[in-house]
Amino acid sequence: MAVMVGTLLSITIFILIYLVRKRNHERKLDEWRKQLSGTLQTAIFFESGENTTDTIPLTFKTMRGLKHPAFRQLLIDELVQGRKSLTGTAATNLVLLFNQLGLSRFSLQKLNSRLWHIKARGIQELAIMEQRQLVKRIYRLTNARHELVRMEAQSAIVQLYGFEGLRFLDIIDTPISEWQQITLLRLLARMPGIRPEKIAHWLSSTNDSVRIFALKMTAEHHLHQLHDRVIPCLRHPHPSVRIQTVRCLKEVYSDATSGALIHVYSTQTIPCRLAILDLLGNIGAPDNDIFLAQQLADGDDMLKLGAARALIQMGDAGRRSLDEFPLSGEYPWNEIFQQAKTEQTA
Amino acid sequence: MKILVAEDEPILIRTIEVRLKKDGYELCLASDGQQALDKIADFSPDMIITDIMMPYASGLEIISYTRQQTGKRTPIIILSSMGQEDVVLEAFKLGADDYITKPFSPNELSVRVRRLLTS
Repeated sequence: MAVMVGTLLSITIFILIYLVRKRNHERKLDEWRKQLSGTLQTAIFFESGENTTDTIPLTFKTMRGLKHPAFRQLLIDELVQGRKSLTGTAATNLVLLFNQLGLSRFSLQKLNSRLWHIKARGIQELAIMEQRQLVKRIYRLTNARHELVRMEAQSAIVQLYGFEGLRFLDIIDTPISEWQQITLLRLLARMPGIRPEKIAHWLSSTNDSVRIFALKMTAEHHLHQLHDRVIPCLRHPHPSVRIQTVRCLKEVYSDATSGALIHVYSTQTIPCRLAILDLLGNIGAPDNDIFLAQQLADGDDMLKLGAARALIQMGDAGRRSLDEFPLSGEYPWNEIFQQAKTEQTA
Repeated sequence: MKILVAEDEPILIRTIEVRLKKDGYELCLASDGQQALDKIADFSPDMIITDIMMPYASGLEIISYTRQQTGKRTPIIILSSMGQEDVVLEAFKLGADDYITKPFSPNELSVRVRRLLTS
């Protein structure tokens, strides 16, 4: 009984101590936040003179607080958040304060951590606070073993250097995830300086995901001059590269595209064939309807439907081919054609 | 002139407050959508600046409330993030007057506020 009471008492005391400490910590954080709010506003509205060595004035309390790691991290977090939300002089001043206080060394220390999330956080802080002088340290992590560290480093390099930052595509031997490709494309959309000759080089990369990403960039930026470099990707052994090639050609097609697509059609997988049929309909070249009409006789109903959809896309000539198809009144063609026509009118 | 600012990001709301107070406006701050809705009637603002994504009530709900419940033509500026084009269009349909995309410059916001209040 005494042991039980003792244990309960110990647990209660432990919980009480924990709660008191937690409350004190939260109070301290609130106090620091209020203090830092003033510091950040001083920085945001700081007007530097012509002298570039101007420094943002800081209170003694803030300077003293910087010795405390939690205070420092809070300041870094607020600076990062502010930099993400603001542009212009306000944003430049936040970077100025980060540099003035030498906070990059604390973000840099995070890169040495064995924990991936701390490493990723450090990379993010350095990128957002425009620490270009530390690019070498970040660049090494673009091929890191941990996927999230790698993704953060790749995004950081592109954030700092735009298209030039993509040089990590020359060395990575790991795949770039679909999500990461979207992130990189989104970052690049806001930056000038696309170099088609570099993209042409990545179109023949041995890393499939690099090749797919290069195809996406070609499509996104409508790089018609790379058309002839894209076509060989139709013969790539991996179906995902081939299907991406067809999607890319939709944005950069030329007079030679239809012929190239028809030439490789029979060697493709069903999803790739469907993509080719759709693209042929989209291109709408006069000779395409002959090929598409032939595909109406394919044994696979999905391909029949794909060909019918493509013919309808082509307009009057395509619709005529559909109506003139000898089996158009028979099952399953009658239903497939009806389906394709209904989709078009919907 | 009285401006109601609804924004849940502390650094942004404080920056807007400092910038617009410098311009001589009287401000009322709300850190979530519900607070903003509560304050519209009490404060009777001459302008509303609102974020779109906020806890408890969105910027769109604030616009609807202002246009339908109060019946006033109070100018409204919305703060949106990149990639929220659809929501911005919806906000204009509901009666927003202008929008500014985050990240933004406090000086740009100041100019837009002045322009809208003097037009």
